[in-house]
Amino acid sequence: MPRDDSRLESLEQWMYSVVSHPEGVKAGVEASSKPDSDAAHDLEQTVLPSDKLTPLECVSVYADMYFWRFIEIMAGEYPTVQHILGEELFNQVVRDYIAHHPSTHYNLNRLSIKFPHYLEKEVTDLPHQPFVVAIATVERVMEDAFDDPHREKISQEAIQSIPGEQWGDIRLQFNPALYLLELDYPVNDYMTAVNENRHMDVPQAYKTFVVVYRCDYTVWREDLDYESYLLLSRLKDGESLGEALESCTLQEGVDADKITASLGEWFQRWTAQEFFCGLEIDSD
Amino acid sequence: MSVKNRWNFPDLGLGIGLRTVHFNHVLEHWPKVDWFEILSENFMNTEGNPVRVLDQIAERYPIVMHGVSMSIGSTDPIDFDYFTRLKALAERVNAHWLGDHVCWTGVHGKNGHDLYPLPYNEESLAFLVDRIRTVQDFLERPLILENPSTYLAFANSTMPEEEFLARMAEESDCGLLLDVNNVYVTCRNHGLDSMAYLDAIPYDRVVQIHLAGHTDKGTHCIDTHNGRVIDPVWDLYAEVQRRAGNRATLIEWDADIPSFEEVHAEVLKAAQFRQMTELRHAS
Repeated sequence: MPRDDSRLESLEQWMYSVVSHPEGVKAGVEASSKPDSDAAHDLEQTVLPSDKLTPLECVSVYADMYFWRFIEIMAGEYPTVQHILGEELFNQVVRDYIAHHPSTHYNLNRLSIKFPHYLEKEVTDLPHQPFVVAIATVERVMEDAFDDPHREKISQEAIQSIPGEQWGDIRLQFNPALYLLELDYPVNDYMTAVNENRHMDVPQAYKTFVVVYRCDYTVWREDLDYESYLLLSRLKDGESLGEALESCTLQEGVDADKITASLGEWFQRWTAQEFFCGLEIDSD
Repeated sequence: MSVKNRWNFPDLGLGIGLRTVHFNHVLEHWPKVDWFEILSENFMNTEGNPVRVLDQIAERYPIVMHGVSMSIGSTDPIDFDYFTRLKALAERVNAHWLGDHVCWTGVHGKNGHDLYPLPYNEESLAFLVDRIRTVQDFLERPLILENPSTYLAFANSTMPEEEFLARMAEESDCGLLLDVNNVYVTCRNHGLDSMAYLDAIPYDRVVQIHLAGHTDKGTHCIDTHNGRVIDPVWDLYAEVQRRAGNRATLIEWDADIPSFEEVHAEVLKAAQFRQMTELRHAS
């Protein structure tokens, strides 16, 4: 006869719903004691008192740790968002986020994957909301880059050995831990100021371009000018260097002379920064 | 190294929990530490710096894996993606053994990332034993499971925790990681006799011992891993050593983490108890 684990399952479901209740453990106990709840239990009949604690106080030990743990993790992942919002508001935003998007993965590094989207689409009345969303986007991407797959970089020699007449035909494979971001605020400057404990007012909106990448197992972020951002984006989309250069120079607002003059220096730097992990040369 | 458990797992000596803040110290100084324990999940789902560091450390030191997300007591379906990655990591670092806690961390797909207690009764024992066997078959090695610190007791428990652990270990053929600080914390929280707790432990199944600091809130203790081991816990450790003989012993220090040297000095305090055990056995 198959074993019936339904009572254990119901008990686990009850305890989880109590300790994770967004309005606190008392509200969780009340909600879960109603006969129509999914796993109705009466607290006093479910948990024994200890010598010094009531059943409610015993369950509260776990409930107190539930949100605190997630807030601590996300404060580490989103230090600049926390700086802008202040600790109290940040903690409340994280509590609301967890209530809407509880952890569903065994690894805590997945916990905040939806946080930037949540801040953009599901939160209202957040101060400096578009700026906070932009900051959160960069901070999340830095977390991703930290854990992304490792690929060996291609060497300067490999780049330099390509015959000049074949440069237009190369297609580059990008380091998986590299992200190109088009942002509506000068996020990189602000994050650097916060990191260095320098005061900086929340800036006015203007377009910036940022690359986040991992080099020698350390994650970096760096502003890009429009031309290099555009070229890297086209190359990352799979265009050959020749195709990318051609399409970039046709783009409005692009300084074609700048691209031509800077291309060699850019490639030298990008290769040293481990942007690329492979290349192919079109045969025809 | 003495071998006194049924799997011939070695007494690795005195180890330290490998923590990110100590990565650079270890790589620069290669300190004289007997072995390292890693938090398994910190090295899963990543190909970044943690695994680069771990690969180097695993070449020089014995590694033991100890997780916090196995959720062996959860009634959710077994997450074989988790166990596939766990097995791969164990092979990658040539782990001497691997384990987790006697607990559940979530249910119905949601994860609280805490060590929630089980009711200690026949129903949950049968469930847990079945689950441990399934996981051990998949991993092709015994699990070494730790007694948790608990802050509540369920009314439908029908046996004490130590009896539950002993039967779980016997019936599933798993090993035990005896966390002496958790014995102290749990007994304090529930008004239990720690000596009676130790009486019930099957020491031939104890592969490893944990020590740690905790926070005493007056009304209850919390297993915070944030300081030195207190004297009553050392006394319990001495008692465990007397009963079990020397076992691989480790200090957990996860909050307000001091320098590597300070953590190392704390675990080296265990050496005196180990020497007493050796003298006793020699005489």
